[in-house]
Amino acid sequence: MSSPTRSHRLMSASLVLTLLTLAACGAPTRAIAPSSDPGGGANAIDAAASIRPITAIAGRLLEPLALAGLTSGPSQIITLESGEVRIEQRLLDSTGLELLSAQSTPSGDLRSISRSNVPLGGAAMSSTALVSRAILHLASLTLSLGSGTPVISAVADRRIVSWGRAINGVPVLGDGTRVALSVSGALVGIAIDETPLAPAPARISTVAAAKSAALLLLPSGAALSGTPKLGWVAPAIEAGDEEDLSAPRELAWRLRGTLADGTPFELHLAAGSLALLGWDWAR
Amino acid sequence: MLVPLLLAASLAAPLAAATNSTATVLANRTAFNQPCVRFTSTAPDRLAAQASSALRALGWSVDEVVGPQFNEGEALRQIAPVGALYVHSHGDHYWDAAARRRSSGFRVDGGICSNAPTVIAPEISAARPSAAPLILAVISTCHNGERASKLPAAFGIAMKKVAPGKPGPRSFYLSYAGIAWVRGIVRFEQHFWRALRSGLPAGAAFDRGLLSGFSPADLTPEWWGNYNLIPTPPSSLPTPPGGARNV
Repeated sequence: MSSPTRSHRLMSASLVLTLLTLAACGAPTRAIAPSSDPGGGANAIDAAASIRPITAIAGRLLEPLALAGLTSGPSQIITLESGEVRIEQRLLDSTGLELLSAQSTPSGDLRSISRSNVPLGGAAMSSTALVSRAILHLASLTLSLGSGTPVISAVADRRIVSWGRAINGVPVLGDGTRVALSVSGALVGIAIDETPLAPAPARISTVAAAKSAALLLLPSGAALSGTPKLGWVAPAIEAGDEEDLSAPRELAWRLRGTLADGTPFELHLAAGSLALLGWDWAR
Repeated sequence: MLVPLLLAASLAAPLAAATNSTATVLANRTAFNQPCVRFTSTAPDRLAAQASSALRALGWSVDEVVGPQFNEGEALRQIAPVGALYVHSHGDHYWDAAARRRSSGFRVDGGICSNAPTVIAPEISAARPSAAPLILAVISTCHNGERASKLPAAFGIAMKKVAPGKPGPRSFYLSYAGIAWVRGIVRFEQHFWRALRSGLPAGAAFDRGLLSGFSPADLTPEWWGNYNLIPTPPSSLPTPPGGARNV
């Protein structure tokens, strides 16, 4: 999988905005108004950016949505907390409730699908069946499968099947492909995230050096535990605990431990320089 | 004798209606920052700000108390009348000395690094003896998403899930089971609030949070109440789903 850079994303967004401006200037106003005909296809934004129409996406779902009575909302250019620009399309029912939304990159790659009103409960699928179902959902939309063995998590009457993203075996935290399902396998949503990476350091510090550097940063009474691991992490704002999602992920040593009161924490040190990148910790 | 009672009733009725449209946002800053720990935590302020912003967008009048002013008395005073509540702090099943058993709640800020006073479920129940159930409660702490938590009941919210399309009460409770790591919390809540602001029902907004890239090993969100709830204040007309976008 390629790693788009921030500048590439911004260039793509600029291109879309330029095309959108041209389309808006050259087309009647209704071209970017909500479509009353869900089968009517793309509006100006979608056409400018070669985005798959949401009606086509709805029809390709493993459990396709019947389009009768549904309305496609106007596509919108949105900016995520990471600064990433996406084009969002929505499919609404007759009351205006959003039943389906899809987010694509300006270059047309589908990155997120979310359904509303997916029933709770139902006949619970086995883990193997959930993975198979997740793969079928991805395949029905011609989305690429994640690599490696997926992790299955149970969260509040939903199931999440996730494939992490790894570079040379090192995980990129928060990235990868996630498929959220009902316990009976109905699609709740799909998210595919692939954030930009900073260049890897020329030399990676040893585990021992990372531990020594971490010990100097620990508050009184805190202790390290377990073996440090490498990971691509978001550096934190003021090297604290809030991810700077707009920054490229950096290769870091991840060291876990506990504070004096037993609260678990994770410390991130730049893999090369051992500079402090940030913390994560429990509430 | 009758006159003071009538006067009190005439004052109380509009007051109750007005307070129900108030939301409170409480966040512990002190325990998560220097000098209590050796780093700067911007997360509490970020979490409080995004909760306040979303609640205002939904039509609530929001009081925000972040930092040492978030003490035990202020927390109970704020919680007593509100219709929506956000709390970010430590949470657990703390010892209830009066009842000689554990109850659930959260620590206040109070300017104290560790073992700050707690606010627990019986205190909340006592502060809200005749208040209507909370419309929206987001308890951004560890452990209060567990079945053992007494907080949903203290807010008048039954620990059951009303499915999409089914009728149910105007209440929604969100918290985390087990240990909740802050980076996961920030990611999940960013998606949850953004979805609410876009007009989605609370249950669908919760589902959006599941796609936010948190590690399920570090965060286990849980909800109770009505999937279909659009958590606007009682004084406002329901926001039409798919209404104004506030991305």
